[in-house]
Amino acid sequence: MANIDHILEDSFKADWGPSVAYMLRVCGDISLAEECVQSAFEAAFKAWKENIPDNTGAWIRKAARNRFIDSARANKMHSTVHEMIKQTSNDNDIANETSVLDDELSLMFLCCHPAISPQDQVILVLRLIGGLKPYEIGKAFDHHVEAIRSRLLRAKRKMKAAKISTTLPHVEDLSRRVQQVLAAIYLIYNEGYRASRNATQQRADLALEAISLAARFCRYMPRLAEAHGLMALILLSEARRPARFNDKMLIPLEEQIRDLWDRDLIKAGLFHVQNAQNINAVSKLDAGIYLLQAVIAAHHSTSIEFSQTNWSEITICYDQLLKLHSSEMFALNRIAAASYINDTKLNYAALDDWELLNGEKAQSCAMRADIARRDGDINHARVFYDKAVLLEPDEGVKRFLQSRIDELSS
Amino acid sequence: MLYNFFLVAEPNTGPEPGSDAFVTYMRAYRTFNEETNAAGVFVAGEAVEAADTATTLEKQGDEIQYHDGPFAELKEQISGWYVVNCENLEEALKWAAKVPLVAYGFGRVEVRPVMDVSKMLEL
Repeated sequence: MANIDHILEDSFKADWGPSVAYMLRVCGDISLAEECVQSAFEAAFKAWKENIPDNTGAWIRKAARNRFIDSARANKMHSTVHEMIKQTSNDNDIANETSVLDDELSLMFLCCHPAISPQDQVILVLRLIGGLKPYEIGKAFDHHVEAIRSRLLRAKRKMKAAKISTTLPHVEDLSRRVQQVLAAIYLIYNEGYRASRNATQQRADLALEAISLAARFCRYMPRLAEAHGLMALILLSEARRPARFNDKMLIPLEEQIRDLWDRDLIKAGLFHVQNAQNINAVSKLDAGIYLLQAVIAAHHSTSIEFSQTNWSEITICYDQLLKLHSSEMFALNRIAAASYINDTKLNYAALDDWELLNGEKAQSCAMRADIARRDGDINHARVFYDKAVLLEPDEGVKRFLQSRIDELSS
Repeated sequence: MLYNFFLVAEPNTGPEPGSDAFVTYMRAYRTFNEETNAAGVFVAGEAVEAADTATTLEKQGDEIQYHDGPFAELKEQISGWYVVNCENLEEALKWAAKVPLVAYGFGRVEVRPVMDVSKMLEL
C-alpha cells in the first residue's frame, strides 16, 4: 500500500486532537490520554498496512481506549477502569460526530483556561489539539525544545494538581472563556507571522495551524459571530502575506502589488465576514473586535487600488473598535485611516494627542513622517523618518523606513 | 478537593478601622463565611495580625534561630487564609473572587490546591 504514509499523516492531522479529547474524558488524565493516543497511532502504523479502516478516527480512539485498559490491567486496576469506561463511553461515541466535537471543544476550553498563562495556552493548544511535537513548537517559536517540554509538563501538572475542570464551561462563563480561546488562536497566527518574517530557517507553519484551529472553532460554535470574525481576519491577513515582504523588507499597503494577494483566501475570508454579519443581524448584536478588524481587512482586500480605499468606512470601524477595546495600536491606526480624509494640521494634532498618552514611538514618528511626505514637506519627513529608524526594533520595518529616507534624499 | 486561599495585601490598604466603610467591609467577611458555610465549602480560615507581629524560626547548625519579623520583607503580606472544599478549580476560583479582599479591591488572593499528603505516607 503506497499511500499508507499519506493516510496516516491525514489521520494524524484530523484525528489526534479529537482522540486526545475523547481519551481525556474517558481517563480524566491529560498525560495518560496523550500517551494512549500516541501508542494508538504507533499501532495504526502496523495495522493499517493490512487493512485501512473506513473511520480512522474511530479506530484510533478504540485502540487508545484498549491501550488504557491494558495499562490498567498491568496496574491491577482493571475493574475500576472498566467501571470508569462504562460511565464515560460506549462504542457509539467513538464514531459519533457530535460527541467527538463536544470532547474536542472541551479540550480547547481546557487548554485556554484562564488559570494558565496565554503563552502556555498556545503551546498546549498546539500540542494537544494540533498534535505538534515539542521540537516543532520550539522551532516555530524559536525556543529550545527542552523549554517547551518543561512548560508543557508544568501546565499539565497544574491541570491535574489544581483539578482544572475538563468539561465545558458554565453558561455564565462562556463568553469570557470563548474570548480566551479566540485570543489564543489569534496569538498562534501572529506568533507564526512574526517568526516567519525573521526566519533564518524553515519553520513549522503556524499560520496554517491557526487557520485549521479557527476553522474547527467555527465548526464547534457555528452560531458564534466572533468565531467567523476571527476566521475571516486570519484568512484576509494571510491573503496579503505574499505581497507584504520583499527581500525581508516590509512593503506598506500603499505599495503592495495587489495581484500577489491570494484571491481564494480573500474569497474565503469575505464568506466568513458575511457569515458573522448574518449571525449578528439575526441576533441584533454589534460586531465584536475580530469581526471589526476583519471588516477593515475586507475593505482593503476589495478595493482595486490603494487610492480607492474607503477610508471613511475604515475610520468608523476603528471608532467602534476603540469603544470595545482601547488599544494604542487601534488608536494609531485610526489616526492613519483618518489622515487620508483630514487635513495635515488636524492629523498632526491627533498624533500630538496620541503621543501625549503613549509617548513618542517608532510608529507615531513613522506616521508623522509619512503625513509630511505626502504633504510635500520633505525636511519634516526626513527628521521623523530618522527618528523612527532609531526607535524601530523590527529589521523588516527598519529597511522600509531606510528606503523612504533614501527616496527623499535622491 | 481542598484549596487554600492565601490573602495577601499591602499593610493599611483597607478602610480605616472604626469607619462605616470598615464595618461594611467586616460584615462582608461575615457574609462570605456564612455563604461558604451554607454551601458546605468552608473548612477553615482565619485573619492574622500584621507581619510586624511575626516571629520566624529556622534551624542553623544545631540551634533554632528566632527572627523578629516575617519570613521575607515584602511589600505585600499575608493577611489571612481560608481552606475550602470545592469540586474543581473553577468552583474554587468563583469563591476566591468573592473574598472581600478581592471583591473590594484591597488585595489579592492566591489559590493553591492542598497537597494530599496521605497518599505520600502510604508509600
